[in-house]
Amino acid sequence: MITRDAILAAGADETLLDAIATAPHDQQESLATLLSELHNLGELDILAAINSGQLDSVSGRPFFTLQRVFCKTLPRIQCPAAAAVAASKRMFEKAGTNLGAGLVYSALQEWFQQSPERVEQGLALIRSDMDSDTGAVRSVLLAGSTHSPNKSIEVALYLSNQPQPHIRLNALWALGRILSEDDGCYFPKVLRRLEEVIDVPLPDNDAAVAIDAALHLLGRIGSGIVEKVEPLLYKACKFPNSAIRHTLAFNLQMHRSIYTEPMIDAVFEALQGTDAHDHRTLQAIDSLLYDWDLDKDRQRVFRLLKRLLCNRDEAIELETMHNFRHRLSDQHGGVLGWYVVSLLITAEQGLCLTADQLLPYQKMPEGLDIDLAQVPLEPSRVLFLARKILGYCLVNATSASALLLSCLRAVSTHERRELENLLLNYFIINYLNSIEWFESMLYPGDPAKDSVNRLSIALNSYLDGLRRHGICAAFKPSERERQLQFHRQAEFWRDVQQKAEENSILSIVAHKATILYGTASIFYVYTDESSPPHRQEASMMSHEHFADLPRLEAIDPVGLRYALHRFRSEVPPS
Amino acid sequence: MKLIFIEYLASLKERGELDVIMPDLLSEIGMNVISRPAVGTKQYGVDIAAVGTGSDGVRRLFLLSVKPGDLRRSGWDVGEQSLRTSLNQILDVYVRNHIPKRYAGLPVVIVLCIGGDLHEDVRADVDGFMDRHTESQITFDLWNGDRLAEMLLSGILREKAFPKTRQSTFRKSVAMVDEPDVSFGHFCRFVTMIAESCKANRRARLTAIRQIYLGLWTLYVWARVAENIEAAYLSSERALLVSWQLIKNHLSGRSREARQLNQSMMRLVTLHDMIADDYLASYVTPRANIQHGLTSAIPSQSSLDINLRLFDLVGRIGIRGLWQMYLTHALERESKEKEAEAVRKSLYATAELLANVLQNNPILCTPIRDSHAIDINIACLFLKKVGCNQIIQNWIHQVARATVFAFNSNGPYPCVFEDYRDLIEHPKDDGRYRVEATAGSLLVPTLAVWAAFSGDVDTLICLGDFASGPYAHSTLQLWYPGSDTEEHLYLGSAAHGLAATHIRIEHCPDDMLSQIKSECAKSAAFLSLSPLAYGLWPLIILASRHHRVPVPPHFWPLSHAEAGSCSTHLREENTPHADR
Repeated sequence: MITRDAILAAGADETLLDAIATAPHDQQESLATLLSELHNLGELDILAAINSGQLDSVSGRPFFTLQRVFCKTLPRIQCPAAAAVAASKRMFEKAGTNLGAGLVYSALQEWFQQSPERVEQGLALIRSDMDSDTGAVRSVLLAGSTHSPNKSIEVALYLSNQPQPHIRLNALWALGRILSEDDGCYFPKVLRRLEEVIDVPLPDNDAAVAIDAALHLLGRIGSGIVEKVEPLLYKACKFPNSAIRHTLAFNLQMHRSIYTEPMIDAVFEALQGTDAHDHRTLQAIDSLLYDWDLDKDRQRVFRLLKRLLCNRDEAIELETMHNFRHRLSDQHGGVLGWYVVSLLITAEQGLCLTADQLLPYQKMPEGLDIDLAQVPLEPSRVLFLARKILGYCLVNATSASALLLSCLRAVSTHERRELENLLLNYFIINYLNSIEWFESMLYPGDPAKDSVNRLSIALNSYLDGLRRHGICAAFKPSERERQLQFHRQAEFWRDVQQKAEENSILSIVAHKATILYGTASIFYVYTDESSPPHRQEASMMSHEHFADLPRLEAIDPVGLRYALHRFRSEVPPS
Repeated sequence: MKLIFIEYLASLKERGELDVIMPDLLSEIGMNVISRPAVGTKQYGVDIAAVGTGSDGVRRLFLLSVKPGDLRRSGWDVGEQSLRTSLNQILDVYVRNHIPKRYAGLPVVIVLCIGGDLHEDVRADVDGFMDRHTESQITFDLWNGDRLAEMLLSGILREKAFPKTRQSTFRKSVAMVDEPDVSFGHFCRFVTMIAESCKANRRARLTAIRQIYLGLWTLYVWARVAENIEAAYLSSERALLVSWQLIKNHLSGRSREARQLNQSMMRLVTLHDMIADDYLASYVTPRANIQHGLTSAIPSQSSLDINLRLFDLVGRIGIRGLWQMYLTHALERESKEKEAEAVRKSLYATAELLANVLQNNPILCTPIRDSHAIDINIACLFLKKVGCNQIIQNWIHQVARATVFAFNSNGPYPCVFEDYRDLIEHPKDDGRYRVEATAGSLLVPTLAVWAAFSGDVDTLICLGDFASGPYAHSTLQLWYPGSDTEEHLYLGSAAHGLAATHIRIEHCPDDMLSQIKSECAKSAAFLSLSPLAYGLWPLIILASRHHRVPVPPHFWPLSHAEAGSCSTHLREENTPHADR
């Protein structure tokens, strides 16, 4: 329990911040009360301590304890505005890029909200030296809006015209957060100012902040002002930079329900230009798509995806969109299948590779029940699609089988034999059990049934020939060659296992122990310090993973590569 | 050791096997063979006739009737080919009317020569027959497997000529037929020991080649029983080459021993033919018509193993076809039209076999070793000689395209490495490695030459662009025999010959071929290779295949008429180009 005396002693020893930083969680509230009382009585000066060298030695988890206590204490203490602002700034800067850093300015805003005088002090402080970045503009303006919103807007409008970016941008930002008492008077003014900024983009992301403010207003006020904000959005979407795109993506995710369809179109179009280096915007897009209806809004999402993946020099990697991938893999098979097929028929290499990366579909064998009727695909292009599936998705065998089955269902009568031959020579011969996959996915009256039957007969005939004579012992490699091959395989699988372990979540959350003997392990669970540990036994579980490799990789590797190369480089039929 | 030979003898068939080894066996124990087995001539029950002196000092005429394996009731007196029928013919006809006059006064020993054992159910019948027909001048003897093995060990393989170390190596070779590379290794040591310890006279050389022949036969029989004749195949190639090295300087002249050396060499060639035919018939032919049939028969999941084995097979089929061609011409020269026709049929069957193998095993379009040029060359030589030009053109076109594609895509492209350890790591994704792995190339010029023969300008352009583009770092080369080739070709004892590195891949077939033709004309060492003097030209190609030395370009049909030919008919050529 931290006592008053202990705190005072720490203050005297200049170890006050260390003492605060070690406070247990359940005592932080009472400690904040005690600190504010002592500060207000003048028995210690917590702000001076923050501004002293003591803060330098506090880091890591203790720092965030200190930050929490500071945020609880600050609004309660009596002090000049300059001292509160300086201490807040120091704490904010110390927190660095941590997301919790913003809490400090919330506390400062709360401090200013205590009285209009404090707001006036804050404004005076800002005006006294505009070149100095106090970090208090937002806090002062938002605090002021609780006493006199209109005045705050006036001040924000004034400040938004200042040349100093730290003043101007924060004022623009605040314009989107202050709700006036009289919308009829101030709202047009605010929008006009925001429009001015968007019309004449400055180098300091003014337009992004302005459109963010406008969209924030839209979010707060609602659909009643859509038609007023809409033109601003279109303007911002016309020449978007990275900051604008990020703002657009973020706000669309937050306020989607208010957006009109043309606004959504405009935002999606603006986002299409995002390049691979714009990680922040890509994260925002990824989050946006995670919340999007990937099924009903396929075309719009696909257009965005297509452009992102095809940006000439700056095409993004699908890896960066892991939330989107996760959401897509969660959909029913038809949705993922539609995306895969749509990507493949573009014949663009980047897009086709992405199609492969979207696989495998975990919900097999239910299948990627793709209805090619939903894809803008003429029947004559089914063969082309099948070759693309083989060219790009061959390794994802079970998923590819579902895609190819959809081709068998859709192919025209006069091209059916050609498709069957293609499948036999490049898929079924590669995966000898693929016929079983096909058969398991057939439904009553399936138009692919006859083809699957014919393929089954052809495969059996092929296998009969091979089985008739079997393996030839005289052809076996020499003992040395077999040894070398064995060692190489063992090395390969060791590497695979190592990589699998590195990428496994278990490597982060679990402790690794190598058991040399036995089939179970003993471990002790410590519940609390007073009782002895419980002895437990854990049986070992085996985990296996099977993956089919294309047979032609062994029996005709260059031929397979060449065929895949041809399939990949085939241009869409005109 | 004796058990090995008992088993060996018991497994021999009569026609072309047991009866073929018997004359050598008799010669080595001091008998004079006066009649050998022959096909198509009436023998009146006598397979082999020989004159010899027994331990009692009496000279006798031995009339052998040979039957393979164990003698059972059916072999004794069922049918025209039974032993009893043969013995009756000997007594009724041969002894009365067909003994050469100079041996007419000699006591006759009729020998019942069986590879295995006499079964108990006919022993009484055989003994009764022999008792009944024994006279003062006619006696009977039974040589079973056990007795024949004794004779082998006291004759050809007598202790002095066949010391313990050699026996041990030979035993290991036989015992390890299931691991062909190990067995072959021991057999190589075995024949090397024989060659190294052999004195430089005809008699010693004759004994040596007979030992090699017998050793190979024994190995083959054991391998055949084990259903894996890979070791026997490899050993037969080595046996031929080592034997040639042993006897090549002793073949001239008309002496009896020179003639015997010739006969022994030809018997070795026949045995090699037999093993090669057996190999192809057992392992290759049944699978050749099946898509991926041979590919899938290789007990390995590694494409490298499949690649190496299949190119090896292509070389074997090619050399088999060339031997058949040699035999056809030899028979034609001897005016044995009927036999020549039979071999010619086999020759066409081999060509068809090769075509099927190429058709059904697509990995044969993607050599992984640059030295696979040797196998490709041998196969194309054979196909060219039988007029299968379209097959050559298609294959070479595909190999060329696949080679260029594999290199450009860093797939398993042909590399100069020979060792399996290097090949298993090939290819690596490293620019410097790529340059090292393709530092030189026999394959690219070889493909270009065959493309030129086919008049395939597209392939020549493809290869030319490749050689002057991404492959510009590679030293394109062809190999020509040198003055040291004769010394090392057959034993593979050292590097030899000359590399021509000024090869240009010309877009015009005539230009491409003219540079080769010109160099061939200047390279006279080829003509002094010893097998050519005896018409045994396939031996040079066999040596090339066996020791992985390029086939001399002199074998290429470099005349314009041949190069431009696109005939798909099977054509006859009396001798290969080099012979002319």
